[in-house]
Amino acid sequence: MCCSNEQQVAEIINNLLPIILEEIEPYFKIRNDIEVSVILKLVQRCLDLLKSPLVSLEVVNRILLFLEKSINLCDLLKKQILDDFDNLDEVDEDKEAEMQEDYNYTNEMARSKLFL
Amino acid sequence: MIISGILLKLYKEKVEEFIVAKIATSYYKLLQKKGSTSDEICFALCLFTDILDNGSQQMFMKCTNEMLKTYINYAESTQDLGVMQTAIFGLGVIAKRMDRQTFSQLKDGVINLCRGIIQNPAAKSEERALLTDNAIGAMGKIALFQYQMNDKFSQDLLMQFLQMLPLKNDVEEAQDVHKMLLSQILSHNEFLCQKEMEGLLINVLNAIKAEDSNNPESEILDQQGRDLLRQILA
Repeated sequence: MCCSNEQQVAEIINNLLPIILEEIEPYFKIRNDIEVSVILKLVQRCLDLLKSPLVSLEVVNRILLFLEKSINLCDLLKKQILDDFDNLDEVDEDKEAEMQEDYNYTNEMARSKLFL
Repeated sequence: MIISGILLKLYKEKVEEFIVAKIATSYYKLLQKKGSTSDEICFALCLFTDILDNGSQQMFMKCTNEMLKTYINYAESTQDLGVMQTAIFGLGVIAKRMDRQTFSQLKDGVINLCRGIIQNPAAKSEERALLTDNAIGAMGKIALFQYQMNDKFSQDLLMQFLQMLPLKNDVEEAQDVHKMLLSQILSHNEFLCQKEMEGLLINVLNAIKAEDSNNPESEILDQQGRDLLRQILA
């Protein structure tokens, strides 16, 4: 971002973030954690630039709802991975390693991006 | 810092109820669940640490007892260095805010945990260096906020902490711990600013300044830290 002061940053966040968060909604429906994590990163970068509460509470509440949905999506995807693994007829070391990799990846994509 | 942590810091009571009710619940389950991965435990501990660090006093009181047990449990029993580091950092955050009478009941135990980590033969190894810095940071918070005036044990603890500065491995922790020390000097922390500490404090400030000047790429101070140091040394 090329803003010269925090007020400008807040103005951009107040104006643009609600639009972006609206755009991401359909991705929750199709359980696309990659797109969601990209937006999480963006939100993180925006908030990192703030030192005072200049973003409107309305936008903050939307960010919080977005976080809640991201976490729920992550939980859902991880449960799906575990269920799929449990339903396998045959399990071997390779399949278990693959499941573990998928699980960690989902964890990383949808959850740990909250912690950038 | 995590998104919810930033929001808590900036908006305090206006967001904490939501974060605790809607976000922390999911993370708390990870702490209760058997078989949570180390990453999941770290994320959960980080979130609660942010709540304890940046939330209101009321929320601190509400969460602190439960989290104290959780941090101590992980710090004592985990083999995962990342989880241990997060837990020990959380204990430091509690030490910074908890009233002295309550903390006094667990002070020795937490200090022993920190010392165990700091005195580990491999404390400076690449694998453990971040953990060691966080244990020093936690010990520093106990020294600076849980002291008793005219108490030799408190005095020794503070001296030990100061002698281990500057921190050089965990950049984020180094910047925070150095800023904490500098802020406490500027706000005339009565224990830190005793006459007996003057010589050691000057040495520490010079060591921090020298490290920052000689190795700016190590980033042991951020701009705010540099400003505070300049103010003190002026």
